[in-house]
Amino acid sequence: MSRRSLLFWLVLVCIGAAVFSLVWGAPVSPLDLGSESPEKREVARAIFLSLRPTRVICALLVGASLSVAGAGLQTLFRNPLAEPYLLGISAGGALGATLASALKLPLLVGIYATIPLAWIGSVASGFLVFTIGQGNVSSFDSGSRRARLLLIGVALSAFLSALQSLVVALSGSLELTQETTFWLLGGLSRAGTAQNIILAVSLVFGFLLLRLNARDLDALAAGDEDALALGVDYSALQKRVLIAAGVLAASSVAIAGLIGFVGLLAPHLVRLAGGRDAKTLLPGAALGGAALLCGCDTLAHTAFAPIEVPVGIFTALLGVPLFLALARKM
Amino acid sequence: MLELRSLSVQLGARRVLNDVSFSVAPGQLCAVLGPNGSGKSTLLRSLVGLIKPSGGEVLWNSSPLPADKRARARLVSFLPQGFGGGSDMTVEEMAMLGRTPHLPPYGTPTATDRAAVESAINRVAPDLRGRKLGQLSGGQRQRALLPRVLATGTPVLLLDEPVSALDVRYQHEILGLARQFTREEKLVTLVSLHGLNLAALVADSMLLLDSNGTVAASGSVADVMQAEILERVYEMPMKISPHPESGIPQAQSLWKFEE
Repeated sequence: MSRRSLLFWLVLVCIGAAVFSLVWGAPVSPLDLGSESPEKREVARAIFLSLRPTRVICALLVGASLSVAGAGLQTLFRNPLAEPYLLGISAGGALGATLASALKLPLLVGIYATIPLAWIGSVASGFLVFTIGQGNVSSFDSGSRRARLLLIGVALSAFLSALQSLVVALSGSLELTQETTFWLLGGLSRAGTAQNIILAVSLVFGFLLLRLNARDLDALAAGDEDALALGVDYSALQKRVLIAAGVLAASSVAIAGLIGFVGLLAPHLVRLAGGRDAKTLLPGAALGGAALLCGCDTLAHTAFAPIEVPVGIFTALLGVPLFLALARKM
Repeated sequence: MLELRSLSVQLGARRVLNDVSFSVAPGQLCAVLGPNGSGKSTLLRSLVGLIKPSGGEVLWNSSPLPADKRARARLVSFLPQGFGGGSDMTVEEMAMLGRTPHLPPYGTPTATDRAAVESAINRVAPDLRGRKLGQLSGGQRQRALLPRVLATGTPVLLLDEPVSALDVRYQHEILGLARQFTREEKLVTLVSLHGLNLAALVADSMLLLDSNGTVAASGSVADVMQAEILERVYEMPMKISPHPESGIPQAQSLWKFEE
């Protein structure tokens, strides 16, 4: 499929998922916006003009952010299994956000305190995974390096989550315990306009940072040494990708908690459809991830209504089989 | 003219290259030879800037090679040993990566870039157009990687053991192509090789390193292909005899195998 038609179809899928998510399972119909009964009109207005659009936009932005982060990391590490959740980058963000809440930083409250610390936590854990994962630079056995990277990510995730639990236990705050449970499960129930603006800004930042390096990212596919010989400044590129992925993952985690596997699924599907170059993969992953999380979120709050289940359950149910299939091929 | 003056490379505690000096003129293919671990790859990798030399200098037309990575990649192209990756890329996509040093990191290829890729593929791999690298045999794949280094359009070309995993026919084919475009484009080409005899047939000059990373001999094929020099470097008995058709010196092993 050509780049244009692939992106065109993904835009349609994205719009479809958003519209479906807006109207599916609502107690009233969008037609009630023009209802003669003022009560019905009020309810319809609240649902279709305020509550649902905010949440749908949040789902689209979080899905796009996680996927773009995944696409960047997979290209950098030349590993189809690299993803912010599996590499511990999301856990770093969660720890940062928890610390911000526990420390009750002066002047910064709520989302404005958690976001910066989540960014720092994610970017730092990205660099940590990368530095440890490099190991002995003279070994060019890329197979074992890929496996090692994921093992380090899993171990780092466990370590950071333990630290997070420690912070919560020491704080003795019931509110923070609830907050942490929310982060661990992941969900979009906290969507709001401020949150969406933060997500949009970090998505634009992360996407552009990666997109501006698209050619260098493509050169990595030929091999690390080959890319270096082609004049790619590998260490600068690595820093840019880790910062972009860290910011994207952290904003998502601080607002929607730990949602795994979106960053694995969407880029993989886009590559399957022929979008292997970064110029196609990055926007493709953004659109695919947005549609995917929007769809999963609709399932999460309608499948077992009136109970709303965490959206991370659905992304994991879809993502883990793909992870296993890819891991078998590695 | 590419000139190395007293180039030394230290990797950790080990001095891999020791005071290497030699030069190669445009239009010449120089074979870099030596036993395993003599620093052939290290030499090529330090020329392209992957390893920082601990001493000496490399001059291109009497001025030092640029330190900027992209500027250097526009002067020197390098094909590393083995297959780095990209099995799901087509021959054209791989060749387009050769234009990376000419494009900004966000850039889109222009007509000039596409023309360079086209002509590079036409020269060495017209029959492999549209094929994915992962679907090719080892020999075809090595040939399919050549358009990438040619498409960059650098005056200096470094090939690190390009034929070590190939059968004898492909070895001749790949090195024949390398010699052909070296002469036609007046390139300076350095090829690290293990096969002494094939190197003698194809190269214009030779650089022989010993296991300490020092130059054991350099110069014309006749200067280097001498029994006493090769015996000292490879630590085995050898005899030199002329090729039956071209008369080029060829090394014969006098190794005594246990019965």
